[in-house]
Amino acid sequence: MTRLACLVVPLFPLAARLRSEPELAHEAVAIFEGNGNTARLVAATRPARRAGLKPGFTLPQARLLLPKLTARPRDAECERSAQEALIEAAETISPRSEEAKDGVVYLDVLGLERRFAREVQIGAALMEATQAEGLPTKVGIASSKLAARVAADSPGSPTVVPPGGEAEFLAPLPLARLAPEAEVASTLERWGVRSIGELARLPSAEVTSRLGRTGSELHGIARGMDAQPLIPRQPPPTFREGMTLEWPLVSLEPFLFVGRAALDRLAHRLCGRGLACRRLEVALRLEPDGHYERAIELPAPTRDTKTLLTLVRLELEARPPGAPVVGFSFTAHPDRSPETQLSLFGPATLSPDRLAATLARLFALLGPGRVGSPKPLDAHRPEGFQLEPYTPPPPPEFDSPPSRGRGLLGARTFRPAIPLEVITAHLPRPHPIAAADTICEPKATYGSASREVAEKPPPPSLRLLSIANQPHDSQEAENVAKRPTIQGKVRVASGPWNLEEEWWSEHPVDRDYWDVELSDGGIYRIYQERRSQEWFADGIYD
Amino acid sequence: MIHAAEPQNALELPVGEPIPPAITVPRPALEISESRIPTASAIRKSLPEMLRKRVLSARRLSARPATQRWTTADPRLDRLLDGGIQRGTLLEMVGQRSSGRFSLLLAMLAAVTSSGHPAVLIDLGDGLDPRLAAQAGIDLARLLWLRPRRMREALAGAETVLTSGFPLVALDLGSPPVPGGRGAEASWLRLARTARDRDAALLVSAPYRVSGTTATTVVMPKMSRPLWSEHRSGSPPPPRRFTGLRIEWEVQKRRGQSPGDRESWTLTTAAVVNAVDGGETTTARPAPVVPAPVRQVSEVPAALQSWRKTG
Repeated sequence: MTRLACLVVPLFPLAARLRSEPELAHEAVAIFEGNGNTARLVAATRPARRAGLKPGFTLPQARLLLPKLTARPRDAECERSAQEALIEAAETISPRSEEAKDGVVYLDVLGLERRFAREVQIGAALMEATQAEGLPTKVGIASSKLAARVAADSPGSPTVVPPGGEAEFLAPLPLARLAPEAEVASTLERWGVRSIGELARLPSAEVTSRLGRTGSELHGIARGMDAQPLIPRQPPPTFREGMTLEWPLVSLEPFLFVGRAALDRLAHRLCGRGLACRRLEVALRLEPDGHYERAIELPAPTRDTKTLLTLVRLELEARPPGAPVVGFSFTAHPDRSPETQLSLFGPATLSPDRLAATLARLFALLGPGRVGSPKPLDAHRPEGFQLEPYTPPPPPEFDSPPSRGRGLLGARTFRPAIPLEVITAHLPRPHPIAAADTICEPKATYGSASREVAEKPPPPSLRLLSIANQPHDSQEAENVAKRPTIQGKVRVASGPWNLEEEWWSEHPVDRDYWDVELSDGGIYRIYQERRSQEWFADGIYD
Repeated sequence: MIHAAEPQNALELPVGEPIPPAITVPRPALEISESRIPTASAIRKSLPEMLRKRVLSARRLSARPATQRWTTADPRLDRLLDGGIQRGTLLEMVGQRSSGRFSLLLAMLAAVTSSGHPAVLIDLGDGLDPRLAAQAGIDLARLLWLRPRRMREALAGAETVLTSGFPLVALDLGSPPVPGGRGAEASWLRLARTARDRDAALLVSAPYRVSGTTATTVVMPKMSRPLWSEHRSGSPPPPRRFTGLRIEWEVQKRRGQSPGDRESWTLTTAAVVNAVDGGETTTARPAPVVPAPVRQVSEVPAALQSWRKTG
């Protein structure tokens, strides 16, 4: 035995459009299919129907009756999104669903007795769930698809056909409701069979012997038995929302206005499944035949509409489509938020959902490569680093005291390194020799990847006299204004300390490092590129 | 003729109507059986020890609980901060170049993250070296690093992370010139209030005062002196090395208390710490360093002169 619910969205093209533009719900709106004056009316709101509009009217005819009519073309994107939303809303009640056609969904409701005492309550819950998605539906529940479909169309939703009562329920309906093939229909008409009940009363074996397999299936449906069982659908891996715009948009703000509503609907659907968006794909249809597609990777799954909209804004500002937009769709690749076991005695931790939304918001605020968890590079350059997604480990079970302070002197790294002009003097003595009040000793190296310094010719012994920012041209003025000013006489200097790595690569690092104390009070870490002989400051001890 | 407006609120009296006398409800005598107090304490005793302190008696409910402090595991820094990093407040550290300001910030981040708390570093100067941060004891997995380019982004980021529940947010403005200047005072006020409402500690490290009157505590360096290894004889003489900073910091402002507390300590470079550790990065203690006198460039050290003569 099976029990099936049929969900039907009356006037589906109109309902799908009003889901995208809910502000039109109480106005005279009509949906037309086709182009120009040949477009035919397929659905209209109640105010429009009261004015006399009927399906099949052309747009001029409709305007003649209702000059203030709001006309909208049939939008496949809206209807597809609404159909997905309808199925997802139905699946919040039962997971086994079959998509029949636009605006019609069958649902297996057998086994819901523990949750719903009566089947009418199932129908009411389905109507409530779909209404929350902006789709008013009618629901019928029966043991066969046809009976459930007919019950859904009958007035007073939800309608429940009791088990075993399908044949009786269908009996008064005309035979055309079964949509038989023309040959079979004419045969039945010659037999004088006019209603489904009359067909059901015929002996099954006789119908089969005369009409074959087609007749047998029709006879079974007339008796309340489905020819095919319910075929559950596989849920799609992505969620998609979009619409065709009434007129092309050439600026960003109007697009974001309509895009926000679509993202709201997308977030609502994700929320219904307990999912969040990990990757958002933006697809735009451009005038006349262009396409624009971008993918936005999120640092953490989120369904925060504001964050998603900001990311879309940044993406479109950075890479504008370059042509008027006539349609769009957002596709969300879902993911589950990481779950964290909270500790009763340990330090408080962050809510995973809130953390994900925060990270996405920061990502939108600062841009890519600006938010994350720092990680050292497997190299010795001080400016090198990696940024990894921020996924803090769970907190310890108990509060623990902090580890003992190390009294370490930190150094700020200059990114990028600041070009310097260094006044030096070569000491008359060969290496090794002292500079100013310091001694040059190149034996020590910073990098384990360094080759033996002894293999190289000894660097010239230098005496550092003064240091200043390198003069710049006018084009660099803006960047230079952001750099710290480094200027002064060298009080004490220590070096050079050689750092050499990646000598096998195209961009090897070969530097002589110095620690210098300047008269401005700063203690800097500077280096000289061995190849170019240029000086840079790459950090300050602070 | 002017008519008095009808009261919109049902509780509002019409104009000219005498105010009725206040209704006084006789308060019943407080009847608390003293015999029940031991029962409450017995319940408290039955709880695990870690939970006992969190259960307050009804008499103490009106009293605002003292704000929690994180110890920095550095006795001198704790003394300077009157017990540690105070939650719910804004602590501003002001210092010019090479004053040890960044090192103190790293030490505080290390203390908080090593005890299992998440923390945020908003690095406007983009000066964090992750390797050095790990050596300073920061649990990098618990540290969220933000690299804003402008002050406006830094302030907006700080507000976002404070609102989301991070217990410690460190905002480092880097070396001057700070992109964006001091920021609007209203922004600092909003940040301080958010930190108070969320019971989070907001550390601001800046080259000059930025937060105006909103900071609960302001600390500044009183002295900063670089330390260089001593001259030693030899042929050739071994190199002198920069070994650290001797710093002294002073409390310039502490809300509700008198300022003026000072603490001084020595910060040691990573090279020296690693040399002492033997390459390990776990239990390092700074080596005792004898400061060398600072000499002008024009001076030629005696050791060098003698070396030249002999060479």
